[in-house]
Amino acid sequence: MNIYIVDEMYQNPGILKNFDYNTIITGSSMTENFRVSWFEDENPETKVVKVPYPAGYSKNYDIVFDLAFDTHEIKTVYYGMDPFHIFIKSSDETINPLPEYLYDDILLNDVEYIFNKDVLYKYTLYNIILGKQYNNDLAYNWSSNHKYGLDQVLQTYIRPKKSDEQQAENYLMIRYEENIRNITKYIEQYPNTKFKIFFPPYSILEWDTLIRRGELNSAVAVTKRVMEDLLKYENVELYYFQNVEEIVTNFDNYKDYTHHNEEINYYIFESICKTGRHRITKENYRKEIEEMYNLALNYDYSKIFGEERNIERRETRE
Amino acid sequence: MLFNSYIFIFAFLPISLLGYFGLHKLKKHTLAKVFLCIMSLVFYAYFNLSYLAIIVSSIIINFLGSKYILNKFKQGRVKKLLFIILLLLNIGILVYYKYFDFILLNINTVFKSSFDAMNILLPLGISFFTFQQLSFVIDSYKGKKVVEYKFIDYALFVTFFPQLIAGPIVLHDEIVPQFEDEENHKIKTENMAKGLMAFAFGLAKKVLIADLFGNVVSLGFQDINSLNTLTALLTMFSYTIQIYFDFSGYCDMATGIALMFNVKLPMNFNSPYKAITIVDFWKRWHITLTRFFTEYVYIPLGGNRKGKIRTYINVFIIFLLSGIWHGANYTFIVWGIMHGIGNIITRIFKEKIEKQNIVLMWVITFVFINLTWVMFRANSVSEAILFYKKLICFNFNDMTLLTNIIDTFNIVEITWIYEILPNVKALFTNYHILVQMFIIFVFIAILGMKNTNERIESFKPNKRTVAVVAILIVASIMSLSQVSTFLYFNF
Repeated sequence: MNIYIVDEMYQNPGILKNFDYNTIITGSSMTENFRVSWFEDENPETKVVKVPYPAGYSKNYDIVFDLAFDTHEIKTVYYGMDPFHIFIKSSDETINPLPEYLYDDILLNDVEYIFNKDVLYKYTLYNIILGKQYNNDLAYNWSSNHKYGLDQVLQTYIRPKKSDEQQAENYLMIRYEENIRNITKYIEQYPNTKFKIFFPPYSILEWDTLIRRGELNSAVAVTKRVMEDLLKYENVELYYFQNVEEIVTNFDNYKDYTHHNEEINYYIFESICKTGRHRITKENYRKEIEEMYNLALNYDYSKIFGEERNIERRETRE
Repeated sequence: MLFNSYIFIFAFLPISLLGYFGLHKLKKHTLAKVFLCIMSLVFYAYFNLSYLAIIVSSIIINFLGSKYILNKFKQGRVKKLLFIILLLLNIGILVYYKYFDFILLNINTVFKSSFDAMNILLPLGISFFTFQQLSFVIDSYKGKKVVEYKFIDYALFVTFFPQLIAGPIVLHDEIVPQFEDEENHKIKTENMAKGLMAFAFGLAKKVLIADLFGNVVSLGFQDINSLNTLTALLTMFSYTIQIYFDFSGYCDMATGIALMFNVKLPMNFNSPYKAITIVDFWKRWHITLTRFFTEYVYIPLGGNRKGKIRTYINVFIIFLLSGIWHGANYTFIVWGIMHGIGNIITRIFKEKIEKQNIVLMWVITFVFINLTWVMFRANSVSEAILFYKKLICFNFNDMTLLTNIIDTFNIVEITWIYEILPNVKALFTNYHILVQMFIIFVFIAILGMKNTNERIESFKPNKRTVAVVAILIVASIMSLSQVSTFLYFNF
């Protein structure tokens, strides 16, 4: 039987409640291109489902973990965290309204999904007739649907005006405590589950944006804070990919200024599950962040935008 | 609750029917009425429990008040006093809930004061059940058509859920006897069939047509400044269609559901866009409202028995009141006045008009209706005027809105065919086939097709009817809910 997994909002709850799995992959759209088969081939005892939420806030992942742990024994969680995105809004908000009736335990109100012509046509008939495959392995995967390269990236990148103000250090983490709780409460409650948390590699242009908006110091601060907090846990493994220069400065990997293709997802998988590269520890986290900071500051953005080179060589701060 | 919802169709309606006829079958006739009354209150209070207090107290006060007027005081000043109190109470409640903030706004404008709006929540259907009970109170005072009703009969007359929220405005003497009639206490398969058919047509009109054209209306009224002549025309026409199919759809559903309970509701809608003159129009649109105003305002004012000038004034008053009744905004008042003037002019030139070409008269009437609906729909009079300006400016620039409008007709039932047959997609897109098909279809529907009342009259249970009803119901139910798409930019 063919299955078509194409819309997270509507299908994640069903997957989480009903599929057979002991491992979950979650995060934002940066995680949509992982293939479940990579993980399962590497370790045949794992049964994996992918349940991302594009642009998800911490509440989205709270919902994922809640449903997953409530219904299954979870051995491993792979979570791609976006630290500049999830610590600002209220910890009760999801990025967009979710169809509650699919998330609750009441079966009867699911009629809204069954007797629904969009589901019938857009999700079912379309996919059957067109013979598209979006099975568990390829769920939500968009890697082959896009073009990559600097030209492509520049088509959608809107370069912010350079701001003279530096934002406060807590600018990107004004609601840090309540949001990190949405994640750490599960880390604490399930000490036998391994949480492999990683920071996805956005292209260097993400840093262009942060610098020009005066948010660089805040970005560094929130990264440091999250790492320190997560390193406290025995059952957490942290991985940092944001400062991998060969990846983030090569625009052939990107379709826009943040989203990379499937090959990079594979590199992430390889690092976490095979080589152990880019692992963050209490000993090396400061150095890794400093590398990121310097990479971001020293990169020659003028090459791309043709303006005067404007480096500030600064000493790193604690 | 709404008729067009899963919970109504799959739960509420079956339970109501089973309970009502079940209790009758068990010879518990009064209990059956009580059950139906309670179900009606559940229907009413579904969205907001606080509404319940208003309607229940309104029913009790009017029932007791009218009973007193009828019994204790055959004539005299006390009777008149009580009557006036009841009248004021009913109208007062209506004014309070519906017009308080509007009146406040005007006081603020005139006296430069700054009272805060109270943002009073408008109870559903208050305009309808108030008018319905007013007719009973007035009849009781005049001693007309009056019978001593039991409380449950009166309560059921007011609350009967098919007509509770949006009419028709029923008169007590056309409803109560139908519930009393023992013939109606058994399920009648013919009524069930006709009722189901009417419900199916009504549901389809609302969900498949009205809501579709409603999307165009939302687009157009969102940013009136960006309208050009063509998009203004499409928006205006779409609203003309939306309100027609919305209202007539609702009336059909009400008629159909009531019929399942063996109750015939008065006709409220009779192919109004077939009207040749504006006078004709108001004999076809919201018939029971016209009936109410005629019987309880127009005739008491003298009707047409006090000379031409007085007749025109009476007509004007009716339309002014009708405008006010429709809502607390100057747009409704202006709309009412526009129709009042239209009616008066039609009456003045009656003989000349009768000699004119029918098609010409129809065109004039239809154009008038389209234009006046703009005032009805706009959020303010100035907005409507801006719309009219855009309409006549003969500007055809800026067609982005047009693309969006045409795109709303790319319904999902068709677009999947586009995926499989790209030639069809090219053809349909280049020649804007869908939007034209829809426009032609609705024209045929409003001008050529039988309306639902006529269908009920000429109903024959055959395979064709079964197929049509089945398709309409399935298509409508599938359209009750949609999947919302989430478009994000950054992640």
